[in-house]
Amino acid sequence: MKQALSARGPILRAAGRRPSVRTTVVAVACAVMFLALVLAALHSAITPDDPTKSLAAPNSSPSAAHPFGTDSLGRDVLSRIMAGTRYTMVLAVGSTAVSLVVGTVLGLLAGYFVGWTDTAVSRLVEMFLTIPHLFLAILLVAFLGNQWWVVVVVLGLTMWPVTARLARAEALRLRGREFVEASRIAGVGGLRVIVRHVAPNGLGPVVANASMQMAEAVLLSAGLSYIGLGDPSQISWGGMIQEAQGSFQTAPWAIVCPGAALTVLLLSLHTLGDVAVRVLGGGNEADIV
Amino acid sequence: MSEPLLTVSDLSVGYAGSGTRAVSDVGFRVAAGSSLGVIGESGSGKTTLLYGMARLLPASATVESGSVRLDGVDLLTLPAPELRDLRWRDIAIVFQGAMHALNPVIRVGSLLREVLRHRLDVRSRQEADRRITDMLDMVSVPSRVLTAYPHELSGGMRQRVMLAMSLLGRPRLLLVDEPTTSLDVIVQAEILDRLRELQRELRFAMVFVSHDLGVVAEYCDDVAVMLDGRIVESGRGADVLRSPVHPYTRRLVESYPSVDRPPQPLPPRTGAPDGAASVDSVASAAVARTGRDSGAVTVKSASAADVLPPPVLELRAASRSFRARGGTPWRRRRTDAVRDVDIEVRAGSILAIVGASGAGKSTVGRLLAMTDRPTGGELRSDGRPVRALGRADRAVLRRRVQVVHQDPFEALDPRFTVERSVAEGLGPSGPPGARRRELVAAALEHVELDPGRFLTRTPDRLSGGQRQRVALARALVARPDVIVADEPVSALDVSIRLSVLRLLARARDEYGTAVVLITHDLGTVRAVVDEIIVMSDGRVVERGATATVLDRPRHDYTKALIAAAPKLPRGGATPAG
Amino acid sequence: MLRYSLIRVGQAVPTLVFLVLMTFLVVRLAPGDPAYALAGDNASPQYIEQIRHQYGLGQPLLGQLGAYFRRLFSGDLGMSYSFQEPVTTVISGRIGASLQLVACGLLLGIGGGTLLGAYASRAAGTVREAVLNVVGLTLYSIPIFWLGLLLVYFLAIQAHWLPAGGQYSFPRPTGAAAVGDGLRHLVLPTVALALYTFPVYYRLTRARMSAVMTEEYIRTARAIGFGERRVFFRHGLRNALLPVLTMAGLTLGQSLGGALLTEAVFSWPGLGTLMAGAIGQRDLPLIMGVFEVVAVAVVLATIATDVLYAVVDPRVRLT
Repeated sequence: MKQALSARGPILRAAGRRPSVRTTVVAVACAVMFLALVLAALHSAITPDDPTKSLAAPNSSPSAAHPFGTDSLGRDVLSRIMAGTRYTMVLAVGSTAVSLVVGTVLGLLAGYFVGWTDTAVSRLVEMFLTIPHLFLAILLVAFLGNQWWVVVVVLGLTMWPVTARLARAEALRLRGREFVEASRIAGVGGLRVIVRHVAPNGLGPVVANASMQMAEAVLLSAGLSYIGLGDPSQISWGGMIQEAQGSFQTAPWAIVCPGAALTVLLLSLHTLGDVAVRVLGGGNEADIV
Repeated sequence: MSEPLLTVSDLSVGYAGSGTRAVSDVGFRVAAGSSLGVIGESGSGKTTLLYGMARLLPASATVESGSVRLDGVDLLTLPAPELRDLRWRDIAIVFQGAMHALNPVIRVGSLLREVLRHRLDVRSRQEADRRITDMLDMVSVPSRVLTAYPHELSGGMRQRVMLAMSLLGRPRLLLVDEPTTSLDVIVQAEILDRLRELQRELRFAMVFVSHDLGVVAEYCDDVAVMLDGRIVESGRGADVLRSPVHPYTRRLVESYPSVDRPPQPLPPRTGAPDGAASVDSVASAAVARTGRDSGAVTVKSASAADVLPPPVLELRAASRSFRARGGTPWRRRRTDAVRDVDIEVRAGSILAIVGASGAGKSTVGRLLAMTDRPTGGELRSDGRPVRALGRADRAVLRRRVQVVHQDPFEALDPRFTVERSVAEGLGPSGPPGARRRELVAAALEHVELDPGRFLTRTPDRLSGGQRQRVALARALVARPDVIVADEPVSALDVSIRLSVLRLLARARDEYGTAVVLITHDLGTVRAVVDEIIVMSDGRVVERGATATVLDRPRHDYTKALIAAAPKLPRGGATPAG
Repeated sequence: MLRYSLIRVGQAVPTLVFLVLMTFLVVRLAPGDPAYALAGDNASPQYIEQIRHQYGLGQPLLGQLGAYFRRLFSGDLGMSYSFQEPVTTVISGRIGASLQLVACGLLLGIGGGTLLGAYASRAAGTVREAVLNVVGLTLYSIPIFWLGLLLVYFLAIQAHWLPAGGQYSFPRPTGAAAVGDGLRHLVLPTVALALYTFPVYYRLTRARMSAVMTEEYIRTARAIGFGERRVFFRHGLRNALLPVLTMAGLTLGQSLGGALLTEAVFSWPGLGTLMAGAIGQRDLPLIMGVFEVVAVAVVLATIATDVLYAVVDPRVRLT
């Protein structure tokens, strides 16, 4: 009898084992993020070699001295990857911050005040969502300059609509709630209601999405660097891949290694993003639709 | 009684992660052609029981023991293909809230044909169409709904379609899950009457799950009362309701707000075990402090309205129209939610606005609470048009009119303690620290929550009834002149509704607060309300003192409303035992 | 339906105006004299003067904007400085190749992602689902240009199975061989673009499908006794596909970003390679032109998906 009904038995047991796998994966993702932050902070201070100097024969294959080989100018690939972390992380954190601030403010205002504020913000969001991000970023960076801070602002501007949509949805949901209305009837002003009730209760999904936004920023900035719109004064992983493309046949490691670094970082960000969405709600592409 | 068609024995269901069983050791029998009503409040396990019987529980639930025998065949051990074969031929289900139970992207006709073709082996299109038309006739649904999508139908129409679909295969057993929740009483009565007729005609057995005692009493032969996953009392419906044995059943019967019973004298609010309050587990020590003597004041006679105080708030010829959504902007039609309504709200009186959903009663509430403005006519406060008031005066007036809503789970900021939530009712420029605290504590005591225990709690540690009390405390803390309560108890379990409503009566008696009670439930009105306004289709169709309107209704709509309201069998609650 | 379509087209007008405004602003905000930037590095003074006139750069701001609009409406996207040809001519020569790649890549990616996503939701809790999830997340995390380069390295350079880049061999074969040659060149870029779009739709479909299968109407279908397959496909999948369609419309622009990088990796002679080349040459009119064409195409495609959505989902049509 019980057997007939609990056909789910073995799966449940499998599910019981899964959390440990999941925990391990999350721990690894956290470790990667920590490492990336440390490398970004220390930049070239702890790299084994000077990332900008030619130290060995060009395109020499991996060896004990140069575990990831050297690039077409004889620079140590490992050192350049380590140093390139800063550019990646600054762009990721910076543009996500821009997106969160702009998107949250506009989204909360639109969702709470509705009316023409909402119409204006929503139309803007729609337009920015429709316009191809990479093309927009290319246009802006090509015209306005490829300094890193320009790229930060440009990426932030291409990503804020997603934040704004999440914040707006939450504000819309909360503004009809009784405790918000009660606050309004008691005479609390609109902006204060947002700060007191709406923002604290509504920012979960926005925060959960931050990790996903950082991943998006990493991808976009790597793409920009790859097609030649990175900040030329900085070492970037995308730029390394572009530079190494000419000697692909002779020195594949100069492409494989920085790409792998990108992939590992993105895997970690996506993993943490998935977890954050599960914990804090809202968030991934399924909810954005 | 003939040999039972359905025998459920020792059925227990547990949910993964929760230690307790949702259903434990439940057993009953239902004879062919007869009906059993399972009654219980939210969390009693009645729904789990129903879906457990049909093996339709979500993956998180496990049937731990028991058997469900239909004609001797145990549904719980039947191999899946054979069970699938029984579905809709022998057992069909009428689901709750047919909005979500019908697939939004499949046309009604297409779904009905699919049922016939793939489940009931009706191969010919003509035959299918004939059976569908026959069945739609039986539930009084025009055949044009066949080309409609579920969202294009009204709630009542969807439920009729659901009923028609469930009977397509002429099942021997029909499981019915709260079929009329969220429908208006009149529509509810029509559908249930039709269901009863069909049952007599088609002779199917029925298990009917509901939270509404009156509905079960009226439409089922037998009744089983569930509490915490167990059946605590069962028997012939009339017997159980006339002479309930189990204390819980007795409490349910006593607290049932029936429209045809004269108001029971309100029991003294002394914290004596008046049942209702103790179920809510809020009857706290604070209760004993107040109002031992106010029981006598409570029942106000209609004749007290001879010398009427001037209205605090009044709507004069007020209308509110909305622009229909969608379509091209220049062609949107305007619909009138409220037309030409006059309402006076007087201190020390409870005014009920009743009517079906869509009658415009909530819109009137919003107009009175000033969260919306009339598009025609005006709102007056102390005789002066609100429109003429300055910004500051209007802000003051806003604080004099407080609102309590329906959903206790939306009422409070989940991050605020009870103290902070209630204090917010005092407004941003309320009194400072100690005085503030005092006022909050007093308001909590008024709603019979012990400040010592509740001040520092957050909403996640409050029951639905407690949340609603806190919301009421927030509305009361600044001693408003008017409280607009929009369906304040309809989301609460029946057994605690009256105890919350009495708090409104208490505010009326002790502070002279005017209360506007917006409700679809005529039963609750009888117990506490002084004056009734009946609305239909945006207009006021009848008004008068409570007893007058309920006992001698003049307007046809009011009569229909009262006739449709579920009632307990006469004889009331005479405690047996 | 026709009315809905017209309304949607009408709603796109502000978006298009906004696009034009934005590109106009970008030109104005560029550091230095925009005429110099637009004319390119070795332009003659006469040419710079001509640009200044064409873009109305000497006039007050409003006049400039008017000139800008007039120029765009007459279909003039300016002169490409690296090609020494009108931008419209350059673009129209490349647009076909891009469409071909995007159509193949997105069809394969969206189709595969949706099917496997639905499959994974059916196989929930099994090893197969876990494997698919890992593959999905990994593909979601791999930068597309790197993925493309790996494909080139292993399948073209090392294994010599497929050509490394371009649209045709040189010299181009004739007759039936030309078709085979074209297809062989199409394979790697298509696969790369498909692998880029795949995880988005895989993750979305799986999530939506899992959510849909807990809906009440699914319980209804089971209670009726429909077979699991019928419940899944007819009653479940149809509902889950609606957000997938929205997603396809919303992320079309993002997919085109992937297409740009794919083209750059495989030297596929479409708009992406054109854009990458224009960046290298600092050919700003061309960059602007490609952006404008792609943005307008995306806006139009979004309208098309919306109308399609209204055909599939009866609930939309009413509003």
